[in-house]
Amino acid sequence: MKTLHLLLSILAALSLGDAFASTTGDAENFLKKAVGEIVEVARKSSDSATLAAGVRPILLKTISFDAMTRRSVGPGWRQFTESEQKEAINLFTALVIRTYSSKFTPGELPEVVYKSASETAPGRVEVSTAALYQGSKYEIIYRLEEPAGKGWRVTDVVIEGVSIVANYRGQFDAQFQSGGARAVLASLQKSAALSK
Amino acid sequence: MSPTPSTRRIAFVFSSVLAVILAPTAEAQNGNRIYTYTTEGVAPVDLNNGRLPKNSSQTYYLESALPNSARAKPTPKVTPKATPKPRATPKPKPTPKSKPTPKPAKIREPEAPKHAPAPAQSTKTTTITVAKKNTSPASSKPASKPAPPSVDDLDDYGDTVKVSDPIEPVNRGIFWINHQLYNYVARPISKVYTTVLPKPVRNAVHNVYENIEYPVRVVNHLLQGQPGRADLETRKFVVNTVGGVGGIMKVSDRFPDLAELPSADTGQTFAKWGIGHGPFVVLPVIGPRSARDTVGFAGDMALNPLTWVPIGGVAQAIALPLTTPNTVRNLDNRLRVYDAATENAVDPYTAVRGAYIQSRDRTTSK
Repeated sequence: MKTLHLLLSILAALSLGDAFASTTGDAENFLKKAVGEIVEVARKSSDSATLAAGVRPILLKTISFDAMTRRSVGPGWRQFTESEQKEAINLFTALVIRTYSSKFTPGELPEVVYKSASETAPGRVEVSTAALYQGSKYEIIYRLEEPAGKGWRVTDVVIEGVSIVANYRGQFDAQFQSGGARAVLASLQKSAALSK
Repeated sequence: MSPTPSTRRIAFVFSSVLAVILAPTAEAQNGNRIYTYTTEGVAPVDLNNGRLPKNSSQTYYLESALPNSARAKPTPKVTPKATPKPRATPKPKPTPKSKPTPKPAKIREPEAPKHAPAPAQSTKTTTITVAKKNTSPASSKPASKPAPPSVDDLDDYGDTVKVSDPIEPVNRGIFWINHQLYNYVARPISKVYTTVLPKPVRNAVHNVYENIEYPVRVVNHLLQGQPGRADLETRKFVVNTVGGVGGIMKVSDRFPDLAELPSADTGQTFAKWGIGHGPFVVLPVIGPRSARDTVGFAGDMALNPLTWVPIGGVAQAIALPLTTPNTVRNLDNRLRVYDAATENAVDPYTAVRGAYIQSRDRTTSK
């Protein structure tokens, strides 16, 4: 009987290990596919505008801008009306896409090494990568989540220890404290207009 | 011989003190048992002839002093962590340091009316268990209400970037001046430098100066209690100085151990010693620093051989051409980092402050 229990425990542990491996593996494969597509666009693009236009659809299906915007705003998000939330997501999406695509120079391709992937919580995976780009090495961590039935999505990118979401969170906090949802939206609109 | 009043008084005081000292034992014998109460749970104490174990560092509690929940189940498996509610624990905390208890954390506020600005953070009073960065919300809620992992954990990043900024208006002023200096002075200089010198030459200049700064790194590795890293740093210095012709070539990059060696500076050493950031400051020209890193920067300067040159008797006229390329060599990289933090920011000052703190936290965690 004891042997049977032991065998069952080992089997359970093994299947659990497989589940974890499969989760991290799925997330990593999803990321690899997306990064591969972006690198391909960067290779084919002749100028920054083409590059930005090319990566946009890839980023839209890869990144959960909805989750990124909500977390960047923080608990104050509940005080946004539905239309304000939509507007904030649209503006934030534009900013993040511009931030991401501005990191690439057309024709210059990054060399990405996938170092490790770990499940930080159920349905949350961090994929650690090293990117060699224009002679410099960058440590980039992608945080991915799998909301029920929606497939994997990137919810944060941490470049050299600086998280995009955490950085915007610090900025939005100050705006929200001073003037609520309208102040956050006004700052987003201003930033979007300035960067155009 | 009958006792005198003073003898009677002494006897009364003595017996009272004795009664107080022996009270726990006496109560135990009367049925009010004694327990140990730790994070492991509540366990009854076996009294040896009504006495507590000798030379024990444990804290003991009478049954009546235990919290109600603990008293109801006087088995050794009661875990204080199980309930998130604050409990009326006895004042001396029996929690051993090796078992960290959940930190009180960010507070989820009740919904406020639409469009109302959020109250200042200092007014938050209610607490829930900690929801750390990117942990499952399920782990931060009572076990009775397991929440599925979701993307709705709005306060995931609440504790990520926190730094005191008591002189923010002054800092913002210096930040604005620095911004003009970077754009109208540093950027043209950097442009000329990167245009005039081809990349291999720029790399050589960078490598030489980085190699010279070896004492900063090796001393700080040692101060951080990392003799292994100090040893690798010394090997790196020897390899680059000898094999790389005075550090012009970074031969050490061919060896993974040396190539991946984390850098070390005095601010990082202070952080490893447990010193916090302190107030955030923006220094003229130099840029953002925490108070800790400002002092650390002074330490780095003292350890940098380039600052020893005038002390060694060499004229300032020679020292200047020696040190200037060291400043210019990093301009391009620093401006790139600055641009990355500010170009799509909603508030460039806050963005730089947040990026600086996050970046330093990452460096010190290595």
